[in-house]
Amino acid sequence: MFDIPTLRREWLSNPRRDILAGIVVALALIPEAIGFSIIAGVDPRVGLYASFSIAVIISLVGGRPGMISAATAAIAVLVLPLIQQYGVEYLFAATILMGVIQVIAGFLRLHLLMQYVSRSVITGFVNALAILIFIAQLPELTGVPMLTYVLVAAGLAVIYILPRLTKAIPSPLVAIIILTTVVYYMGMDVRTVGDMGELPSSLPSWLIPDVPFTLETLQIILPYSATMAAVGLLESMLTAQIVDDLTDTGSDKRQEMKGQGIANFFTGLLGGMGGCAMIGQSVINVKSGGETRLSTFVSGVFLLFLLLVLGPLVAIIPMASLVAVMIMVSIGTFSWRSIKDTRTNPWQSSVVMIVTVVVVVWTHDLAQGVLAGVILSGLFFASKVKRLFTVDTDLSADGTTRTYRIGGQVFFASSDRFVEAFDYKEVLDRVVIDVSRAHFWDISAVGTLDKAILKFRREGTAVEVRGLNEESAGMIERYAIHDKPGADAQLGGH
Amino acid sequence: MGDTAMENVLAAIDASAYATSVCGYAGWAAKRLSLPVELLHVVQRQDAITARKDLSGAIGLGVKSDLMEELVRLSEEGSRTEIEKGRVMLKAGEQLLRESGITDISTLHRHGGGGRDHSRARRSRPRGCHGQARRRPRICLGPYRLDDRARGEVE
Repeated sequence: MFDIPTLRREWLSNPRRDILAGIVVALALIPEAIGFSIIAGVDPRVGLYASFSIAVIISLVGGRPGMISAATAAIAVLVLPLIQQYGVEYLFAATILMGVIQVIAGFLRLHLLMQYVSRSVITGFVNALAILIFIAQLPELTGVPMLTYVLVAAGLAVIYILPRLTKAIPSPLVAIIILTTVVYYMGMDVRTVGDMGELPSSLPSWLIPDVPFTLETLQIILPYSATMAAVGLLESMLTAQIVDDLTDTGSDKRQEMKGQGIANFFTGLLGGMGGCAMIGQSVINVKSGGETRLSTFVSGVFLLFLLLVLGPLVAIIPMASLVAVMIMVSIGTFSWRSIKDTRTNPWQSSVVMIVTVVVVVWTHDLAQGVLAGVILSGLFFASKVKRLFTVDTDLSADGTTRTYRIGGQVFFASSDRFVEAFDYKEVLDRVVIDVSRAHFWDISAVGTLDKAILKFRREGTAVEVRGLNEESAGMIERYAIHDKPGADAQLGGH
Repeated sequence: MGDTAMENVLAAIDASAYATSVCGYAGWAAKRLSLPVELLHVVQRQDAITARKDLSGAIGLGVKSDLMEELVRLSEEGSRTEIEKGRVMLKAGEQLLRESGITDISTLHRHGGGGRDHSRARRSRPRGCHGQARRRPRICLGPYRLDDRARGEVE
């Protein structure tokens, strides 16, 4: 990993573009870090330190160069109850534990679980995330003077119209500068970043969270840490996939999981909140020409530079301009295509997508939404596969023996159809059940066959089962994975 | 390596000035060893991401799919010209070798991708241009400015 050609490729293959992209991204990190510190109910400092520390650490130890990680919406919405109930020190402790869990997940290769997350669930996740980011802006948009709406609209106008004139400067930055200047010099009475809490004035320092190291503390933080770890890894794996596709390069997902863990662990020790990869900002990075570790690193360092050097200026930025930037991130994260696709996709996939979104928005927990989506897509899959089941039957010439030929997939969902396939009331001497073209997947299927045989025997009919060699059925199942190309690599590891 | 019998001379060429001398040496070596020559050129795709000049940092409706399409379009055009260039190079190399009296020449035209691959998994997988061929020892000539994929061939 640390050989010179790899280092050069991952850091210095195009330093100029990467540094520029990193600076553009840093500007998009500030609103999210500040905005979601406020959502989580902590000082902007907590989010800003976290974004700096996560971005810098992940650039060193992550597995997906060019991906941007920092303090995120997905994590911030989870921790509000913890902070309200127990205070911010518990957030730091939970973040440290979150990192530990993520590193363990990396060693356990849990990224392989992503295989079971269908495309519809992923789309639902992305859309739900976009909606969460948008909802998080609502407190800044309700019960505020009309002027705020005007400022947000003006900010959005600058963000989207300026790139038509020039693509040489980041339009979100221009929007922030224009709005700040106007608000400051015209003395408008709107909320600014300085009103939201303390901004960092020094480098973050190491600290051990001020919590009692007892089992009770662990019981308090563990549920939060586990959810934060799961949500963080989900979004990171998803973003890594998006960056993989955009850059047409591979990434080391396992390393990325461990990297996320390491980044969160140390961020907790620095007094920051947990974070993960960010879809919107990663897209901005790639769009701006960033694709190595350098751009991620620069984004973190430049963020801190901005705060330490321009701190007093950051305090006068009106919240409305940050809201405009976050609305942009929300719009860019949302998959608008998925709405159009609902008309052409199978209804099941649309239902999975919508259920994922609804559960997330309802619970504010992306993990629960994904779980609901995965369960539902599994059920839909089972109900589709159970239709791969055929029965045909004929009666012998003397009318005493009937042969049933069963084909297809027999498993828990199709076992009812299997039982119903037989006419138990027909008077026969002998029944032959030919299952040589059927596959018995689980013990429900085997149990159903037993049940059918018993029902025939109760009527005094002799039953012969043909083609069921339990050894071979078991063999198929065991070898079913191995006959596909690349299975060794998946199972055996690297 | 048990079997050291060489099967062919691999001449790796690119657009650099070395290509001509590589072909010359390959021809010389092939004649002395009575081996066939395999001419290799790896198409290096231009990096579409850094080719874009856009620091606007604004993301809007359908940005992911739009960006994807744009990146594909950018590299698609570049790749087509690169492929054409590669064909011309291989043909010229073949011509050079024929002129020096080599008759048994095979050419190999491969894609080297965008140049960056960060997955350890992919790197560790054996990379043969055509199956068993990569295990055969051979003489390799050419500027060693190939990407990993081709490097797996020559190292």
